[in-house]
Amino acid sequence: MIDQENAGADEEMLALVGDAFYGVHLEQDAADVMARGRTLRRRKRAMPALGALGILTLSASVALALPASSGGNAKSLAYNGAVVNVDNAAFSVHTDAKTGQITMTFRQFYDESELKQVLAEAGINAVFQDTSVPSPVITSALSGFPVNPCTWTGVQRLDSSGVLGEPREVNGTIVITLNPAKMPRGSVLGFEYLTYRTAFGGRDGNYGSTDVVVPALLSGEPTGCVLKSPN
Amino acid sequence: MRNRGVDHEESEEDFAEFYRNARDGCLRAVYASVGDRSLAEDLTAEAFARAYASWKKVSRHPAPRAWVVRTALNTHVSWWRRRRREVAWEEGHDPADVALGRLELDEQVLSALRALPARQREVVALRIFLDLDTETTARSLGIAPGTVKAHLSRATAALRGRLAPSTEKEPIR
Repeated sequence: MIDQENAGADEEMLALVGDAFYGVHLEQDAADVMARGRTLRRRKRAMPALGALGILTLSASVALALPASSGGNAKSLAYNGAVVNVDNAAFSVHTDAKTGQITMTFRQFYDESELKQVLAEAGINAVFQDTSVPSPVITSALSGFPVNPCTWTGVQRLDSSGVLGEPREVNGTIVITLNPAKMPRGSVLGFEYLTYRTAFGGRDGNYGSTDVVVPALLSGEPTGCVLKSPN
Repeated sequence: MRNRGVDHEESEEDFAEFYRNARDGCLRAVYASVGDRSLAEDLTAEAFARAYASWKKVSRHPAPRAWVVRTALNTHVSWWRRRRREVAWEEGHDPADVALGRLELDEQVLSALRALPARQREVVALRIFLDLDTETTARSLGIAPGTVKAHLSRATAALRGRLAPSTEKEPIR
């Protein structure tokens, strides 16, 4: 009897929460959504390899192909640790000569060694972690999908305000600004290249995987990056 | 043999009907999960577009609404957008929403939802807005049914704790 009363009270509570959203409507017309869907379908047909292999794999192939076809990277380096200007298919790193601020543009995530070297030339230590999250982790993270599923170990995560600027999206790339002058002595930038499988990605679907980059300011060289368990 | 054009039209009508019936519930579930109205609208519309792009597959899915919500929340969202969303939940409402005067939700309910751990919020969102049963919720989240029940129980208790003072003054509905 008490259980029934509790269940009833729970339902009332959930109904109260649900009612608060009563005025929330998706105004977009079905025609608009379908038009967008047709575009996605055309892309999917144009890039049949994307589905099973995922975005990361596609990105890698593009990244490998473009430098060769465009005659390699365009570089303008000053090795005094002050100015770095590099453009290639996968990323760009530019130093503002006036402010010393560095702008990093991520296009594809495939081989971090060159970016690591470029940053090192600017006097910045960086570590990279490729994380491929198996579907159970993703499946269990409905709304948050792994925000930062790996935890840097052996170091402290430092406050990055003033060092790492607010990341922006520009034409499908991720742009992150960095003020190297404000990096604490001995600190290291941690970049997690995260590839994860999306929920219902089937072998023929185009939601097989996607990728994000998660930067962090670390107190030193980490010993690793450990994935959190699904629960 | 069926005419391909007719099939195509039926498919469009089928999707349009699904969209009309499911869009608000899906948006609310996504909104309740991410706490950012503008972002929720973007993600939900994109997820529906993806559903249409793969409608042949999605229409056969046992819970297509859950598919949409899952896809919305798993859609490629760059790090800064996710960060913005987290900040919004931690610090208050999406500034864009404030600017647009779109804070139509009850502040106490929002605050109570914000206080829930993400997983509990997800369970609540699926239960309330998609009306999923425990088994389907568990499958959607990739967790055990018992865990769903535990999350729902804790979430409800937490919501009651935060909302009870106001509901005591004013009976629910």
